[in-house]
Amino acid sequence: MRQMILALLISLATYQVAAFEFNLNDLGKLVDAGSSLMKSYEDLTPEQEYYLGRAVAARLLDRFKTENMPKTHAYLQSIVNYMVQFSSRPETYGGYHVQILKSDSAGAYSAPGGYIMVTTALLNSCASEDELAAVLAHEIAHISQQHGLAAIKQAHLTKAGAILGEMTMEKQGGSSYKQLQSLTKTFGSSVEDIVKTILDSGYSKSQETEADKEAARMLSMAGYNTEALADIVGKLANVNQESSSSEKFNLKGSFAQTHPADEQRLADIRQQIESESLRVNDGDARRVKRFELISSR
Amino acid sequence: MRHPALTGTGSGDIRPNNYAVMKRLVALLVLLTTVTVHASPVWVAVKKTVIRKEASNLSPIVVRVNYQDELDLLNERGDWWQVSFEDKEGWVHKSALSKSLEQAAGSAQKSSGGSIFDALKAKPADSRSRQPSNQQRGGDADDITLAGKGFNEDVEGEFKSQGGNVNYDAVDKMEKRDVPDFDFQKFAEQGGLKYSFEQAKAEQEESKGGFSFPGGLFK
Repeated sequence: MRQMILALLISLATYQVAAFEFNLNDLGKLVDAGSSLMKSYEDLTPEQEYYLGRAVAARLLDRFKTENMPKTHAYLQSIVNYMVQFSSRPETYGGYHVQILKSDSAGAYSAPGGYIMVTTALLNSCASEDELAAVLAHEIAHISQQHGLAAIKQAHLTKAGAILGEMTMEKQGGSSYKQLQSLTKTFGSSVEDIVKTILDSGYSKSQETEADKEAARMLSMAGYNTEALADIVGKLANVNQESSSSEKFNLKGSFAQTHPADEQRLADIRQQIESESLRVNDGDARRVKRFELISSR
Repeated sequence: MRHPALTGTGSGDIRPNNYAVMKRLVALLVLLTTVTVHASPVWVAVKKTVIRKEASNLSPIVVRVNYQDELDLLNERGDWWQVSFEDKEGWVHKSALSKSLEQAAGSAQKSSGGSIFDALKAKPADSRSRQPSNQQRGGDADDITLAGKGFNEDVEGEFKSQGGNVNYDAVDKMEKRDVPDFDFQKFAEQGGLKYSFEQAKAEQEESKGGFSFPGGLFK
């Protein structure tokens, strides 16, 4: 009996030590968690990407006037729904959506998570559904490759991770409203990083090239004429250079970049079409007809 | 009646027959390992998606699933994962799923209707009890303690309340604008679009193996 009691006591003591060690481990994990939560933008979950994207879209939609045009929107949304099936990322947290912006400057923008915006001037510049699909595919590629999220400064992600770690450490007493405010401030800074990139500095040349490459492949797989991508890139460069628009929007972050590398961009697209034997065809009469029906409205 | 794996060695002592017990333990271990390999959990990482009969966007829908639903991963074939959900099997594009615990823990918080602060009050052990085989699934400290946190509805609410140059009404309107029951095949046919998913697969494999979140919580 004594032996049994002794054994029980030893077991209990061992359990307590193990539990203590476990708690210490947990504490260590809590501390580590905060600092390692956001090592890079790739650590953001699809849901977090969605809320960042909503905020970026909200900033852009505050700056531009929007168009209603239900039939044109339905047409563009159909092309987007069709094209995303050929993208490397057909599904995002909230799905892909499109909005027409009222603007004399031809441009297209995208926000993380699936928000695509195209200006009326850009729609007027497109001569076919294939060119429209090319623009939309390019924006889908920016989203699927997370170029918007990549614009967030690491310092802001690290700060967000630190605040979250702090909030978790203090969970016993409940987190404070002040902490939510701090996290929201970091959220706002991250949104501004993305907005600045879209409207001011633009994506890097390599990101634009990546987006063009995926767009060209998507067009080819989807059955569109891949050359439409080169056509619309070349056309928009000229349109915006000649534009007498009084609008002050800088288009560096949009589809219609006007930097001197346009010739190289066109050459890259054409080279890819040849090396990957991408689809080149004439527009099908049925496709021409449905495009004309929409564009004549 | 004495268990066959236990043998008496005198004076009422009962000691296990080591060989027999060991054999049973090994058999149990093998069985557990097999279960883990054949059905590891994955979670729906998007608001809504569908499980299809075959690994193709054109295949019939087996069942609709929603954010944070837990599915069993049975097989992986390129960008498509074979899963089972409520006795139904089918395929989902991997961009809609996550192997991370992060979304699953978020589920408990969301479904309880609590805010981020309610969620934060939960002990880490609470999360662990919902995902008993955390280590087997490759979860880490981030998953356990910080699940479902970060930039979310609460943060958006606070961001909105601070004013600033944002137009969320236009974003909500944009999100609602969809083409109900979009018919992929009809759209292609009516536009004379001869698509090819086979070509897609080959090109993606050739380039860099298709889409993937390279690191962190969404592997």
